[in-house]
This record gives sequence, C-alpha cells and structure tokens, in this order.
Amino acid sequence: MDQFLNTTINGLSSGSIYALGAIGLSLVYGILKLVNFAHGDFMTLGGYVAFAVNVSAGMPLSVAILAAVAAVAALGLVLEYSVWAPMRRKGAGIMQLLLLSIGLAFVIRNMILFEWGGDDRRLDVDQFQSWNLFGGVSITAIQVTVIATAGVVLVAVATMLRTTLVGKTMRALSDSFDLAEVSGVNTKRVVIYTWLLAGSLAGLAGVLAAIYTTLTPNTGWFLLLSVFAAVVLGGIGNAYGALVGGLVLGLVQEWSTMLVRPTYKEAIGFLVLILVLLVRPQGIFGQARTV
Amino acid sequence: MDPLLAFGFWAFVLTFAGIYAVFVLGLQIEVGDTGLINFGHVAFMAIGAYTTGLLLTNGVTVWIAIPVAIAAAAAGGLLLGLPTLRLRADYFAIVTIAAGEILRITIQNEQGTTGGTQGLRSASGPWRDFNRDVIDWFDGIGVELDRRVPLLVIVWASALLVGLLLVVLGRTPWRRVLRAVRENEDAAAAMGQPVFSYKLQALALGSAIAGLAGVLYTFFSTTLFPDNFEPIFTFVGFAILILGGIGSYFGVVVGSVVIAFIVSGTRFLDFPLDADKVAALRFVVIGLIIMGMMAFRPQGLFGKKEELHLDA
Repeated sequence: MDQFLNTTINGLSSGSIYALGAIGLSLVYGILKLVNFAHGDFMTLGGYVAFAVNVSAGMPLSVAILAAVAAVAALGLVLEYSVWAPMRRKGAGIMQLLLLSIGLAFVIRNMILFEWGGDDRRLDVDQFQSWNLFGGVSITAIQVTVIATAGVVLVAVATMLRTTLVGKTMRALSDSFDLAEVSGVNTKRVVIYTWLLAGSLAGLAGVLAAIYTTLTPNTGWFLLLSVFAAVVLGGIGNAYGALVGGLVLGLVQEWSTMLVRPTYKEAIGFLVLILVLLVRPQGIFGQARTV
Repeated sequence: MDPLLAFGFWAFVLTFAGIYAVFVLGLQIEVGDTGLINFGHVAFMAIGAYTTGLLLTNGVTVWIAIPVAIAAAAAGGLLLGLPTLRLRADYFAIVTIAAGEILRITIQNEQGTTGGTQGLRSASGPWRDFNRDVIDWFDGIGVELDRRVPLLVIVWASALLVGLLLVVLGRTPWRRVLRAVRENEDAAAAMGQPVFSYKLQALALGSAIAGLAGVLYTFFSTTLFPDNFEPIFTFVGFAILILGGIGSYFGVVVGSVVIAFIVSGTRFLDFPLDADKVAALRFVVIGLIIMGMMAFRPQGLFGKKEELHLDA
C-alpha cells in the first residue's frame, strides 16, 4: 500500500508535467494540423530561461517561472508569424509541416546546447527536504512544488477552456476549423491565443521538468514522446483529454514500476501510446469517428 | 598531420556516408516510393546490428550471421507493419518512433544479453582478422592499403548493389503498384491491388536494407551501444532524404555525402570555438537544411515535385 501511494505521488508529479506539455501540443495539432516535434524543445527552452533567471541572475524561482512562460509564449508567436502562417498560406501538407518542425527542433535544441552547453543544470530549489506523511509514505518539497504549481494552472486552464469565449472557440476550432470559421469565429485571433497558451504551458512544463529531474538540452526531447502519448491517450485535439491523458500516463508509468524494472517505465508509456492508437485511435474520451 | 591530406580521415567520413546511404535507400523505398513516413527506421538497423553482434560473439560464421541479421530486420518490419500500417500517416509516424524507442530501451535494459549501456564488445567478431588478412595480402603484392579501405569498399559496393536492386525493381510492375499506392491508395485498391500487402512488402524490404546498414555499422564501430540507435539517427536520415530528394536514389548518395561531411567531415576545420559549440552548430545547420528544404524546395535537390506526396 505504501509503495502504491509513493508511486502515485511520483506519477502525479511526472503526469502533471506531461499534462502541461500535452494540452498545448494537442490544441496545436487539432487547430493548426501541426504535429509539432519542436514542442519538447519549447519545454527545454523554458527550463533554460528559468535557469538563466534563477541561477545565473540569482532571482527568485517565481520570477524565473514567469520569465520562462513569457519567453516561450513569445517564441510561439514569433514562429507562428515567421514560419507556420506563411507555410499554411503556401498550402503545405501535414507531413511537410511535421518534417519542418523536426528541423526546427534541431535548431532550437542545438542553439540551447550552443548557449548553455551539455552539462546537467539544476534550478535553485531545495533538493533534500521531504516529509514523511504517514507510514512509509513520503513526499519531497520538489514534488509539492511541481504538483501544486501544475495543479493550480491545470484547473485554471480547464476553467478557461470551459467558461470563457476564447476557450470555447479554441475547442470549437480544434473540433472543426472550417465549421468554426463559417460560424463567424475570428480564427486568426484564436490561432494567436492558441500559440500563447501552448507556449506558456510548454514553458511552465519545462521549468517544472527542470525542477523535478535535471536540465540538459535533451530534457524536452526525451519528454516529447511521453507527451505525445498523453495527447493520443486523450484524443488528438481534445485539450481536456490531454490533461487527463498526461496524468493517467504519469500514473501508469510509475505504477508499472511495482511490476517491472523502473528503467522500463518510459517503454511502458510508449506501449500505451501504441496500444491506444491501434485499439482506440480517437483516445479514451473521443467519440468514434473517422480519424 | 594535415587532415586535408589524411586519407584515413576521409575514408572514415566516406564510410560513414556510405552506411547512411544504405540506410536511407531503405527509407527511400518506404517514404519516397510508398509514402510511409517511418520514424522508427533506426530500430531495424539496430536489429541488424545486434543480431550480427550476438551471432558473431557466439561463434557463428559471418556468412550465416549476415543473412540472418537482414532477415531478422525484415521480420521486424513485418511484425511492426501488420498492426500499424492501417493507421493514418501522422499516427504511423508516431507509432514507429515509439516502437523504435521501446526496442532501444529493451536493449539498454537487457544487459546480460546485449551488454546494455556497457556496450556489446567485439560485435564485429572475426572482421578485424579478415581486414588484416586483406591488407597483408595487398602488402604481399606490393600495395600499401590504409586499414580503413576494405570496409570503405564493401560499404559503397553494398550501397551500389542496393541502389541497382532498387533501380531494377523500379522497372517492374511491383514498384509501379507501390507508386500507385503512394499517389492514390483508394484508386489502387479500386483497381484490385492488395494495397495493404504492398505496403507491408515495402516496409519489409526497407527494413531489410536498414538491417544491412546495421551489419555494416557493426563492422564499422566494433562495439555496439544502445545510444547509437537513438531516433536522432533516423532524423539525420530524413535530412539526407529531404536534401537529396524524396523519390530519387541518386539524391540519397549526394545527400549522404553532404550530411556526413557536415556531421563529421568538418572536424578538420579549425573553428575558434569549443568542440561542444561546434558540434551544436553542425546540427543547427542540419536543422536549417531540413527547414529550408521543406519551406522552399520540398522535393529536394533531385526529387520531382509531381511525385511528392506529403499529405496525410
């Protein structure tokens, strides 16, 4: 039982990072038909901006988080105007955009490597503080930071998507771009909001990943496939689904360590990804339709 | 040493390029001819490499190990293709990369068999002795060979043979059906062609070629590490494919040499920067090549625009 609770805490920590990454990836996939392989590197960039502010400049972690979120959201916008919008105007196909995003991922990742080098970096957080909750169940200060920050933001995002006009139009666009457009939705504005949201959440996910694990230029890239698994699990384009998918994936990966070696947990996540695509490609929440 | 004149260095770069050429010819069958975006291609190279390594370290002769390795990679392609080939192109791409990672993580974890992160040592088995015999023989007739030459010749001969095989196949009805599948799957099916079976055959053939690349890679590097088979290897392969031109076999050769030159050939240039930073810049360049090609010339240097199909 203790082991179950401990792995649950671990799973919620990594799962909330996946969820933050997955919401943006899923909305961009659904709305812009862009399978963004650079999304993981957006996360990494968030981590390094936080590192620059928090460690190099010695500012508090909260300032670092805000700076990371702002920087990655800005990058999302710049790329939309400079790359994605012109490509869509050219009528680029989904695989063309996908391959382009792989090139972009190379560029971002290696610019980070160029600027900050390949060494492991850590943010200025207490690495050792932990509390014994009861019995053999304990939680670290890092996990509390990750789960609390992600929890607040995820609830806020879910509320935004459900209640605000922007949130509703985002979901409508993801469901059917053309239908939303003929209904009079200002799609251009929603696209901008989508990038702002996707970039901010990716930036935050990167900072939390840097806090929870270590930060290298590959951090986001290694997370990306798990984030994809979360997106697929929740149904591509479904933002709520991505949120829940991320948490479920984190939990499944950590719970699996009770049965198989912990070093296999990523592989378990990828196995979930493959099985869901084969058995239920619309995701666990999606309705059956042509996908 | 003046590296520009160092024959061994350029033999190394060109051998690397040749292995990539074989690898990407396999990718070309899948992506260029059939329209299957396989991001897990490196997994079949890993199957070829580790099968070779495990057989050779257990005393099996090279003449059995090589065909078995290629067959194992082809079988891996069939195994992956059977459940996944019905998926839409973007889903197939994600599934293949996930499957490749599962294989790599498994190799990393099963240390008892594969050596794990410690590496599979002496995976090339008797290759080094054979190599020395060849060099001694040439020495005997008064020709002094660099120790890297035999593999360089074998690698490019393999690339040539695979290329010829593909050109010959290109004149058969078989590849015409593949191209029909790529152009319009529904139309090909309506004409009574077993589309699924053709995709499966293309994936198996592409995987077998990747398996051959794995065999050559084993001779090239002697010790195999799971890290050698990360998805980045496939993506560099895609950079070659995109640069040379999707659908063009000649483009694969040019792309391989150019990209291998950028990745390892630029080592002789003396940049006033740390080695780390230079390594990073190389991959920035490769990323920019992919981006620039996709934005301005998606058919690549030698591809044909009307043959390019990048829609899901």
